[in-house]
Amino acid sequence: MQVRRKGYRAPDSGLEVYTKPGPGINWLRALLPLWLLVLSSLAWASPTHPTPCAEQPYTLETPEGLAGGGNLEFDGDMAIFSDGACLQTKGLSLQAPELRYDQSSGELTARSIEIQTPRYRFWAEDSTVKEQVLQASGIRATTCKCGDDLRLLSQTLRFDTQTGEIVLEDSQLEVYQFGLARFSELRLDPNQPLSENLGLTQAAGAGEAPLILPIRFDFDQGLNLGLSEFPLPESGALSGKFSTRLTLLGLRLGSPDPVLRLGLATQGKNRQASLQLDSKPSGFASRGEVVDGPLFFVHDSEKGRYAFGLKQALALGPFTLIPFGWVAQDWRDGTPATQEQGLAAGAELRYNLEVHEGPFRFRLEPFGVLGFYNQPQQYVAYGGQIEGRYEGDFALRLGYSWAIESTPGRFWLERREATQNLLGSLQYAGLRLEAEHDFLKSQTQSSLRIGYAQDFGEVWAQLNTCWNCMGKTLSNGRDDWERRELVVGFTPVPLTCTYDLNLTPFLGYDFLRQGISRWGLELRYADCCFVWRLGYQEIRIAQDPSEAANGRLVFGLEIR
Amino acid sequence: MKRWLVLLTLLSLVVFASRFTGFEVKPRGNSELDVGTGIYTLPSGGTITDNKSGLVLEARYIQYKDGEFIRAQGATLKSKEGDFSAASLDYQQKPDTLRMNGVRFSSRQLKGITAQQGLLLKEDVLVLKGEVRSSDPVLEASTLVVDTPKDQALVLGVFTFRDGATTLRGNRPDSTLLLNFADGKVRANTRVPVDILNRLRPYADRL
Repeated sequence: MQVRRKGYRAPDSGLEVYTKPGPGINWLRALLPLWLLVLSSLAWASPTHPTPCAEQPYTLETPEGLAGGGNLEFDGDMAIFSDGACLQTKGLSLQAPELRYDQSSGELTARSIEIQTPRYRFWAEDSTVKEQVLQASGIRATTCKCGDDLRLLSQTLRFDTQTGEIVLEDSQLEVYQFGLARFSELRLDPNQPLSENLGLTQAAGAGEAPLILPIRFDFDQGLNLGLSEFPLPESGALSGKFSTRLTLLGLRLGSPDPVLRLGLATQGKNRQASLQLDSKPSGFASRGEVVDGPLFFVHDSEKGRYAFGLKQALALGPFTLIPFGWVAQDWRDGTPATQEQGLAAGAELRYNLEVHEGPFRFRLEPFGVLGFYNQPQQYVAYGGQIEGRYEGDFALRLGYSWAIESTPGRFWLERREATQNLLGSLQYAGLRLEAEHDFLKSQTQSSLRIGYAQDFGEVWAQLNTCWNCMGKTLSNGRDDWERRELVVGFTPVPLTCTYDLNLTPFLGYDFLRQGISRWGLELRYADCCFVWRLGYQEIRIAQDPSEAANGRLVFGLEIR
Repeated sequence: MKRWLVLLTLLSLVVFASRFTGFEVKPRGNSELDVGTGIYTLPSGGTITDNKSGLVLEARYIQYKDGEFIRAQGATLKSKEGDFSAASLDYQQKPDTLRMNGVRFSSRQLKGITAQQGLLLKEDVLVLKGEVRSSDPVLEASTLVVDTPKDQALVLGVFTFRDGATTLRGNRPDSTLLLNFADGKVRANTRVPVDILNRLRPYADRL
């Protein structure tokens, strides 16, 4: 459900509207006019957008783009727009009280400009556009839909409208007028969120809005509280990105097994390092990874894993050869009793074939690993993946992956565990079916999801099943042979309006154990700059080995 | 009878206190006088010349009545405002107006203008309406008022004006553009001084 107030739609916002009704839920459609009435009655007045440049009373087509304004004086050399002027060109929309265009030099000049890109708004005191490059000084920039509680202040800006790259020099990041970081040079992609431009999040792709709040505050087996991957700005950072992160967390506080976690991670070009220390009542544990080109050192004290070595991928057309060598220690079953130590050297060869013809795709990726140890033992593993896809009116995917080991590998790094998996999926409109069969475990899992999408969100139901899943989870004191869980929920459309809120509920039911398996509710609220999230999720009957029955309070913050 | 009529026509030097202050008619063929109405018809056209004002009207078909009107089809007119050609032309002495349909016009400032309708007024103001186009400067408009003595032209309504690599557009029905012609250059200004707007805009309503 979504309550919309004082709507201000983002310029790039687009809502997907599905109109195909699902069976048995026509009542939703019947209630739609009522919904719309309720929503419109709650809508507050929305601010008006600036008039698009092409719709200005007067426009001038120039090699620099389309200029426009309330009035124009033009003597054949100099064109002066006044009474509200604008410039519209590829990737740039500029507003100014007055704009001058010198036809002989091809230069546009303006003062007190406002620039609108799909994600950012910039203000500048002085600006010049020439050869499709905007140079400006006295910069203020924000991603906020109104106000500028989150902003960048900068001395100069250079915006190449052809490449779309913006470079801010000598800039400062402020939140609620509190200076967070300084950058000597900050490169912005105007189509990327600020959090991604600042390196606060990894490249998005999962469709999930990037979480920027590096503060953790939730509750499961105890209270989890602290800083999680808190970005530390570096003095004189040239890249203009946060590349060092600090973690300082108290986990499971109040439980018999609390953990104090201290972590530091840094990332550069072709190199990265991370270290995490856990302090528990039972002792200390650490894990970390240092990679510098082909060299690496990795360890996890809880699993008894340590390795120092090198690994380098060499591309040879469709083939990739990865020679490797390391000195390592591993506990093969996770206990010191099966500790292995020694040297390993070898190579992995992969072949990648991809064919794309119309809506059909085919991928074949076989591999082979050959390793030698400082013992009279060799390691041979081979396998691969084969996958076919059809992406047309419906999407169909069929794949098979397998791996065969001659003998078990000594270390986890070269090991390719034996697998034989067949998987497939079918997606058509709001229906998605996924199934996977593991031949070695004789285990079959599937999920069927039906969604009914409307312009205010999607009502969905998902049936998760598993056959012959013995030993995977325990409930009621016995192993589970089967799992049948139905989860129903509602996912509202992403918040695009300011002072807008929505609720995301879901509820799961376990048919075999006849009880509520999970439930959750999340409230999201969008102000001018941020989306605030507050939610509670509880797993009552674990459905997967990775799950444990617990409750979790989630608090989050996203840059809009 | 015909000879008498031709003779009469050749001798008719009419004195008007208007654009055609006195003109000489040279029919291309016959000239017919309807004695009842006093209207002369030149079915094969001819030339009407006003020696005093320098106006020369040449047409494929002409009808006129002394002191009242001249009507012509397939006409060309040379005047001090410029050269016109029109599919049809209607000159009324009172008031002193020249209305044209299917106009082509060229002057010192504006060349190759075409319009669906034209109106030349006693004050040497030319009003053009309907798909007004000119080749130099390149202009497309719905209404154009040309004030020849002042080297000014007022564009009213949606327009496109090209100068070199730049194209200026007025996108609204109430757009205005004042063109000033001086020293071989055209100055364009969308903010038209009130006195000029008040003086020229009423002319547009007369067509």
